[in-house]
Amino acid sequence: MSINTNVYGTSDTWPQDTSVETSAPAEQKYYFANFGNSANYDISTLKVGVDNNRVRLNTPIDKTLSWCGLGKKSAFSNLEFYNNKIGDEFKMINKDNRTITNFALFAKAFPWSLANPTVSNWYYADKGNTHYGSRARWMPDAQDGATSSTSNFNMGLKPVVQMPMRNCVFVPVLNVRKRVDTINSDDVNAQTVYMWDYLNANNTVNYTSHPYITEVKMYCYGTSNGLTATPTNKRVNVFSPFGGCILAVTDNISAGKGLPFDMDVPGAIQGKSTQYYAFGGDSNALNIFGMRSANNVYMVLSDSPTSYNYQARGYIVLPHPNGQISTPTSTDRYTRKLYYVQYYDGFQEWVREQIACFGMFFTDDKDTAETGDFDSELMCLGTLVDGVGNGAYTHGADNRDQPQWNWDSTNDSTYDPSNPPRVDPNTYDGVMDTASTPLLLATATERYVIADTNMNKLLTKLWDVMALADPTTMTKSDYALDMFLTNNPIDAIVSLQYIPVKDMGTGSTTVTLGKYDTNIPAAHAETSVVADCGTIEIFPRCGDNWIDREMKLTLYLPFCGVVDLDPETYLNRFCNVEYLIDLTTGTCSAVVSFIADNGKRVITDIANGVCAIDLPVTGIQQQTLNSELFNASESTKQLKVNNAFKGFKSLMGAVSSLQGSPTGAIDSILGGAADIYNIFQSEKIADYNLQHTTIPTKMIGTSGGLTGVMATIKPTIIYSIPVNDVNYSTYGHSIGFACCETGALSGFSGYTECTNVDLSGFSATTTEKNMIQSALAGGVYL
Amino acid sequence: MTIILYNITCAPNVVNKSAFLNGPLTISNVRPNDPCDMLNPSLILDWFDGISNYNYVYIDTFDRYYFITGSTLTSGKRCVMSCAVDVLHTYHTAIKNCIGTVLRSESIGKPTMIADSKLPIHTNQRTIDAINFSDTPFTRDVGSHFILTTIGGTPTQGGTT
Repeated sequence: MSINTNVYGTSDTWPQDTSVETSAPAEQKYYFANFGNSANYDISTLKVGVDNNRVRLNTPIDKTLSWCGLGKKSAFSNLEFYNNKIGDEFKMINKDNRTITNFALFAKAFPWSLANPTVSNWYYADKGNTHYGSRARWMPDAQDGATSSTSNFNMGLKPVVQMPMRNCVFVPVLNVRKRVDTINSDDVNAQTVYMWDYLNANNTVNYTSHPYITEVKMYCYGTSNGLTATPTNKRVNVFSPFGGCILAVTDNISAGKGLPFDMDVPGAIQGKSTQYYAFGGDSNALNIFGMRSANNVYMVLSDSPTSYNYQARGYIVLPHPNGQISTPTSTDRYTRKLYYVQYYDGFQEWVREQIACFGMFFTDDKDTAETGDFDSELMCLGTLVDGVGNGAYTHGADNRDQPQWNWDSTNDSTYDPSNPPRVDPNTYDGVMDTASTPLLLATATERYVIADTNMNKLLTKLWDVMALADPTTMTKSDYALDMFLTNNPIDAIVSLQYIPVKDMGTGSTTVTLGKYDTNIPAAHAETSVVADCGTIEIFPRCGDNWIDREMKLTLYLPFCGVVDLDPETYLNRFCNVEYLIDLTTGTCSAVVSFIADNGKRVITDIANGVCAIDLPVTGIQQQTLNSELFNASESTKQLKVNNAFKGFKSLMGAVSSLQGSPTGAIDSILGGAADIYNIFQSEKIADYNLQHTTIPTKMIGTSGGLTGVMATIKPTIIYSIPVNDVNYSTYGHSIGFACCETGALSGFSGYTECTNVDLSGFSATTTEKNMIQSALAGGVYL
Repeated sequence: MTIILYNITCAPNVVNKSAFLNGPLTISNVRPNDPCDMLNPSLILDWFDGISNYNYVYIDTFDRYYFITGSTLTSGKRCVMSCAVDVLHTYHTAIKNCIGTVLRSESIGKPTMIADSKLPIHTNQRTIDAINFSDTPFTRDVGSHFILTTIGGTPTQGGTT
């Protein structure tokens, strides 16, 4: 980090504010650039913007005050912009999406100065007046264009050019409310409260009494005495004497992107000039969440065309992923709306992550904030990776391991805002999930789950119902047509499947075939089944080393075959198997997954199979039947009868061949199926055949296999581990264990092979050093 | 020059041989064989009984330790002793303080994540184990396992639509 002295002057010109600290060493003080305190430019260190020492609207904002980058998790990298014009639908019109956001910190020199840094809205040029850019922009142009040529419009700003590490602890403060639906009359319930007070349920204002959070800010705590790790005086908000402070984004923002800069000149697009925005709140705090327009935290649509000059035309929001805009009960179009987030269990952690992005010390504990050591348990320190903070932090003694621990001030940062590191723009929070299918829409079929023991009753019932036909009233075929919408009652059965799965049904009912209630108890069949088979930790069997990676892991999945698990992926992780079974088709998918280090589920394999057996059922093709009845000759009939019975017998034969299955369940079914076969050999079948001698049979579905259920029915992991019968003690002494570690050789003992040894620091001839290198590479005993 | 003869019992590739330097025998008036290479010197000294028991020598002139690689008896009961510098023990203190990349180490104590091609594991001889998941949707028990699909719908009176 190298501050641009052309803008902020050299360090010897930086004044400190005596109200902050007086006796501290220089590196422990807050320093500010001197932008002057009146219209007199001569005392200003502002060097660029030679036109009256002002930075012009089209001058890129200097970024060198940014001691770190705010990562993509920071709300400053995800600013949201909302319109406010009455008649328009209130909506987000632009949203930032930066991987790194640079920023600058300002204290306010004078309350409500021309530069008015507390205003948190942005302005447009309007009606020919081109002097309204971003009101809080540093400094686009005069707020009042009439005096722009004579005044020092930057005098209201005090850029912070040094933040002392040992005199700065960020502390979260909240603006909270009891309710958000009646803001006009409800402002009185807004409360500013420290996080540590808010989380104490015994306090009057806490997370249950005031669950709606409209702002999160942070105080910058420091002391005014000589600074040590443990201050002798309590730390306080160091920006309090200034009456305000600002945290400004110095990267382009998309606030007015695509919108006309001047409403009278639609072609002049806002986004052509450098955008800049400053968040300044009341209470001398730095906003890190919420919406703040001119002096307030509410939004209201405006209907005055001229109001764009002096009122916010749009609103900028420091967002939260769960942020919402309130819906007031009043229908008044001027009704104010709030941007808020409702308290939840992870809110405290989210705030910590936001503050951590700044790479500074912070805490949400009162005692730690006021007097705590910088390595005390509740003192946190934001983690910077290549100078960018993305929400990670350390606390307690671990703070000592961070580079910032050794900083005197933010000027010791090596972050270069003009050349920020390349940041992976992706957020690796992908989710791979599975879910039950929705219930199928009602179709022309009914689906039942029938107990194995009731199956043998089913076709008997068919015969029974046919026996009820009164030949004096109607023929049997007409009777069947009336009962089943088909001449062949067996066609009322669309399909019959055996699926060896538990819990396929819901509720209780009886099987109905056409109009005929068989009174066979059944349950309504589910559409699908999602079954979790549990989790197994793939534990290393050889000491968690490379030999474990030579292991073969084979996962047997009933009905779906086997898959190989990659040991590199699964070792020391938890393997989960979940079955997705489609009960309408009998197909099943075994989903193999593990829980990744970030706690998210990662699916590595999906194996598919079929766990249903389509049991054969005879049926009738009605159209064919009609055709046959009218056209077939007697000889043709006979032929077809033979064919029909060949097919029928083959079906029954197939079913019978399944007898002898090792499962009792199958035996019971097939006992029933065999009964059916025998029944067809009885006199009833003769009656049936008399009426259906011309009917071709068809097979619905195909015979499935039962081998799946004959094998093990639980998913099983098979470990194949290479045999290793080496005596590690003698092996290590004779040849050492392979490794790749860098360090002083004094940290090793016994047999050692090493390479690229740095032999500087002692005197030996080149030949000798080459001999040493060679000896160490070949193996020595240390 | 003065030399100190030792009998060392350790392997040549032991870096610090201090614990293995036995029977030191200081001999003065030793002459180098001209010319004398500092790394592989030859020394001329008087023969004495037991000289063959020494296999290591410190030469104060060079401030280095040497392996005795050979001794030759010459005329006048003199001995020409061939030596080779032992850089490991000579610089053992400095070597231990050097930083390097260790590729194999006894002190690691056990195999690491780095594949070790020298470790004789038998990939063709394996131990086979199996472990079942705790649950399964499938069953062999007698129960409700038939799904019957029939013509659906319910008859209504009068055929109204």
